[in-house]
Amino acid sequence: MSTSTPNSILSRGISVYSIPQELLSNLSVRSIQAQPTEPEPAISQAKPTASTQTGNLPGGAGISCQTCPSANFDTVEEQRTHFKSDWHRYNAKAKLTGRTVSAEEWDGMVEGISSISGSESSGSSSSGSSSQSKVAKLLKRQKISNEDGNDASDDDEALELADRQRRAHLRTAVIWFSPTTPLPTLGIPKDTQFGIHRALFPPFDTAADYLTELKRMQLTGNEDEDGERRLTLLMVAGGHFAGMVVSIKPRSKTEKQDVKGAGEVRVLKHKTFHRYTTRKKQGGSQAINDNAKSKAVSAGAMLRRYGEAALQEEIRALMVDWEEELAASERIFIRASTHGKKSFYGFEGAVLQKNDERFRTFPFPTRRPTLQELLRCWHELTRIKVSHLSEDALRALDEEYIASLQPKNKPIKPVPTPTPAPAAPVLPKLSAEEEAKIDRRRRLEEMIRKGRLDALKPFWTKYQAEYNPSEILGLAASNNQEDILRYLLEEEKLDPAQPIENANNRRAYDLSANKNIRNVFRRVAHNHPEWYDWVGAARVPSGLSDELEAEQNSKKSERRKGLKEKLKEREKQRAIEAVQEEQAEKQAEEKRQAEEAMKLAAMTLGSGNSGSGTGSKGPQKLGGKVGGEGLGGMSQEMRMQIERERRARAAEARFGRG
Amino acid sequence: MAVRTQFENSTDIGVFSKLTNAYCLTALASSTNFYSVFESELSDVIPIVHTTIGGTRIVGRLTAGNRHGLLVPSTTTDQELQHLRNSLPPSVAIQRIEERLSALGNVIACNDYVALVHPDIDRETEEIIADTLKVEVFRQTVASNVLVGSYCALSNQGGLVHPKTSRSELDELSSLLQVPLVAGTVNRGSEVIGAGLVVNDWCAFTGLDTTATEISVIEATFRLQGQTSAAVINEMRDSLIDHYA
Repeated sequence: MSTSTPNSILSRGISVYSIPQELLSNLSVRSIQAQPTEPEPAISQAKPTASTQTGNLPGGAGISCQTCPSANFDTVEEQRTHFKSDWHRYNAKAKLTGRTVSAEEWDGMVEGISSISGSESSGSSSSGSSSQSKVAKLLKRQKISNEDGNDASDDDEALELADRQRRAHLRTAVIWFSPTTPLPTLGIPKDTQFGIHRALFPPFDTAADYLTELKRMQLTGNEDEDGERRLTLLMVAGGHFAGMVVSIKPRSKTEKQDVKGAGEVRVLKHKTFHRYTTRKKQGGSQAINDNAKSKAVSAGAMLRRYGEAALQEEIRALMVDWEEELAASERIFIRASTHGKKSFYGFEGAVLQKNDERFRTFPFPTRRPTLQELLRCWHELTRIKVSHLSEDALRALDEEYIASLQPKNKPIKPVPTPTPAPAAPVLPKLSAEEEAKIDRRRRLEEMIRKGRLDALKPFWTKYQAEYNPSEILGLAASNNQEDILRYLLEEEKLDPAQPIENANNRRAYDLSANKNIRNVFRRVAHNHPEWYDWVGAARVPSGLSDELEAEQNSKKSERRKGLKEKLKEREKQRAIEAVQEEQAEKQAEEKRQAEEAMKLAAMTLGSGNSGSGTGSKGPQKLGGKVGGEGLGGMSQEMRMQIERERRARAAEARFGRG
Repeated sequence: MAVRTQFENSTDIGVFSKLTNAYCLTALASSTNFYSVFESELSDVIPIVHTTIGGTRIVGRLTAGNRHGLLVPSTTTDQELQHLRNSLPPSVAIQRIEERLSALGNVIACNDYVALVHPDIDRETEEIIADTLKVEVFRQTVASNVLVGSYCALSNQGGLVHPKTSRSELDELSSLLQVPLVAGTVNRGSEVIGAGLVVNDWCAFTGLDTTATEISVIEATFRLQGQTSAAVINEMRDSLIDHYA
């Protein structure tokens, strides 16, 4: 700990565990991260009755609640109010699974979820309806987290959940500290910030906790005590494993160092393994591939499967071997896939438990697990980051950070996973009443969309003042809910003539989903023409009386009938035409054949023979056919040749006869 | 006063009937014996309605109500609803409820001012209960049972709850309900109070197996003979303690 030479402290890396006393006493946590803790006291004020006294005698001492731990009341009214609070509702359900939460835990949980509902008033009995959804959300969340943990007990799960939510206040990976005054003796100028990874701290609520913990974390200078403190880093990825246990106390000059390049780091244990497990070119582990598809049977697959099993075995054996060191470690940093984590816990004879509070993941990207990488990570984790930013630059950064948070919050909302909710203070706070209103609005929309008239009726009579009637009409019309629309129009007499603001000033009628809905409007317009200016303001073109409707229907059916007849007639016509055409074709064919026959006859006649009947008939016909079809595809010369030959044959025949 | 009766050889009369200060529902049975017992006690005072709910006879477990209203499950047919509307006084609001937990009698326990309901009940249902029955609604359990309607019987005078309800829970529930509560049994030790007992402000019907001691506890709890509920402790102590010993 060199304090004399100026600037030397910043030029060399400062270890988180050996910060000069002078600097340590002047540090404070930067404001942006401290902010979220401010609403905390306000909340605990809201529940003074619940948290202050922890009565040991719930039955005798005063008025209490059997469900909620340590809830005591002065008056019966207070108790009855409590029975309507979210906290009690939550516990009433949670009690069945044996996991009730105290007022403080509940506040923590509500804080976590408040980004969704935007309220911190958990105790208000007026926000009954909105709060109910909050309770449901929390219960659902609880259930999910319960399903995740198979071997962990319920209590631990609940605690872990609460922890996670608490941590959401201060969610950056690095906690920034700044000195309250410039320290020229250490060479620290005015605008200096020191960053320490949050992962080194236990999960805390308030900024002050971090500072006290940082002070507690410092090495005391007591040899034995310091020598006992250690940190474990474990990485497994892609068939590589690297692990080491490091003493927090740096190595003294005299001690032997067996790790190359470790420098001052006092590495107590270290080990690396490699096995062939990763599918080359395709990536991913063999197990994942086997689970996703059927089991591959290639030689490579066998090798990898064996490699995976062997790696797991080796790591497990190593963990057992390192039991003592692991038990003494303050933090255990693990980088592993879900599958890879099975090497560390969750097996018979495991040294570590899944819900060990010391587990941390590396809060930065890491490379292939090697000893050198572990050393780099060790330095990254335990060296204080130093930055020199002015107040203005910091403020700009803060604002940027907040701005970057907000859009990210929105998509998170519908997801019911137990991820820690983002920082609360950046969201606009809604009062309990507003929140209830929003919730009611959502429910109303759902009722209309699903056409639940029974539920809607009492709801509407109760809360109708809150809504723009024309908008609700539009909602019913666009969702194709005839019954609801009729109820709203006829019984509740909502005015359809008002323009709907968020629909381009259209009227409810314009939003109708289909004709049936339009007809509902028109029918009401016909039945009660005196209510509004239906045609002008409400844009309903005309009323629809029963007679008119019947007339329309009959007209339609008539038209349909007429159409059918016409169609039939046309078909008939077509059939007749077809018959005629066929006949005409037949006739044309006959005619053509007759003509051809005539031609042939003429030809035979032209050769001078008069009516020699029977003997010449066969060949003539043959010739005719040949002349008609067979000659078509031939060249001119061929045709001439054939013709000549034919004539010659005819002449021969004549000579023969003569 | 408390009357013992049975429904077709079943002593779980709470399953087959529903009694409030303004009306009484009984299931359709092959004989009118069951109905007649109710009729003899109530005929001049409140209407007794023979009905089914969704075609079943377990009217007491499917419905919940008090003098302001009656809640029926979504399985109720339109004819049944119409029949009920025709038979009940106009001051009683009838509401059909779309609720996953359709055995409303099991999940709702109420008198004319307060209702205890199953913790899982729908929020909309909760509002409908509050509006129709004009009651304050509390999500509660009785002796760690969520079926509050099955394990307790309430009137405006008092309430009988599951025998394993602890002292502190009794205190808590009675401060919610603002009526004195007693933990007890019906039908010779049955803990399903709701099934063995129907009660209103001036009379009670219990299963035929109910013992004399149980009857006297019931009468004292619901003040059916003009005593106060303190009678349970003072006058009946000997018989009760003897019984427990």
